[in-house]
Amino acid sequence: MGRDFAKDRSKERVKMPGRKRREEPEEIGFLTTLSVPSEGSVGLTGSWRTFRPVLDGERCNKCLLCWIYCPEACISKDLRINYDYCKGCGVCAEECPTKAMSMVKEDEEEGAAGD
Amino acid sequence: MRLRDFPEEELFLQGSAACQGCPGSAALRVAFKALGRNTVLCVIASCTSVLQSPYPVSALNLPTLNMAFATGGATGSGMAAAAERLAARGKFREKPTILVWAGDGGTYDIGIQALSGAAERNADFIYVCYNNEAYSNTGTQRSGATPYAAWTTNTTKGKEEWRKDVAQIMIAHGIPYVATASLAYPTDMFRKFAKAKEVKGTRYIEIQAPCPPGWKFPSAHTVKVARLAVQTGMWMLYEHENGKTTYTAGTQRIIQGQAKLLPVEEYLKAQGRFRHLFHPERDEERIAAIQKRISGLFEALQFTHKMKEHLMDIEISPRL
Repeated sequence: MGRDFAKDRSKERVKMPGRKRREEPEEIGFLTTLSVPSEGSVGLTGSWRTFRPVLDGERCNKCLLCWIYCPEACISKDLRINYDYCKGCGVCAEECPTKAMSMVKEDEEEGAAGD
Repeated sequence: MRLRDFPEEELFLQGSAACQGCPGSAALRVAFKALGRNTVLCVIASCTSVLQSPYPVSALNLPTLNMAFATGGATGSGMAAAAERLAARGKFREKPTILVWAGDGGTYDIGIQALSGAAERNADFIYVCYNNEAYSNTGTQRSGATPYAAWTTNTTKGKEEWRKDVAQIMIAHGIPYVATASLAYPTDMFRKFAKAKEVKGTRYIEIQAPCPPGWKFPSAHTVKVARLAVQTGMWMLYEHENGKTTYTAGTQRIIQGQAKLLPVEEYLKAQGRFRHLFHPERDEERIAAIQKRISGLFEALQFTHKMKEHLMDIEISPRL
């Protein structure tokens, strides 16, 4: 995902009227003030994380609170967590009514943190 | 509307530049789910201008116009007028919803003149103020929405003035729909957005947005602090239409006596920006002043609620 916009834009190169086209590198492309919607717009934000949310499927009662409270839209409606972008804020674990979500330190094994 | 009936489509794309536990992006998600894809967004200078990420990519999967601080109402009016003309010429299959998204700095202080003008003209757009009670984007300076006794970089010993209430100012403009919402009550927020979508004219929705770095609490407590604000009465949930205010969700439960009003201390203690009220010694005077305001207001509301129930009894009683 992400920053292949420059490549796309270069194909839409528009000839500027009344201006002689100089030889310029092909990859600069056509500049515009528009931004393109993209996932991971500041890169893989998962690297910001110190604690990682881990879902215990047996305890989970599928109330979907973690899904709607996640500020980053990293938990899908079928409760899969996208660790590429999860920033590890911990809102999901704090709000989980059955304590099925727990925060595990990044370099430890799953479940090793215990509770 | 139950949580499982919310649409699955995400118009806020993950991997944005928002802080951990950002209330702004959480509010955007619920708003986008309620309003759907046929929405044109205008973002006023605020944290949202930052969290939608640097050029040339954007985390908001909607047509977005980024505008200056003071122009919320004016831009909204212009976009609404343009949408109306284009709809009259048959350029749209369905007329889009115009959503203006501003912070409390762009609403309470800098943008209120343009907003007031637009509300007076009853321009056809939804104005959302996500209120984190300070200029968090530039490092937490005091704003008109900062509550009494709160720390900011300008008010190091606590703000001396009380906050103003722009939701009440908007009600005084006589616009068709005014509502307040909280992050902790997503179904209530969703319902208010869905309702605002169907109304024509200027609609104003204010969302309280507890900001972890600005209010100084752990990022995991964003929703918890938002909920405490409602439970202690520091934030009230209501909607106002047809000249009538209806209290909703947590606030309604307190007024109807189904839930107890928690002491305001619980809300103050949860945040570092009120720490000077408790350390090094308790500042009884200022805590009591805040509690007195809220208790007085809720006592009056609970009294009027009881009186209304009583009056209803009289009306339907066959003996009279």
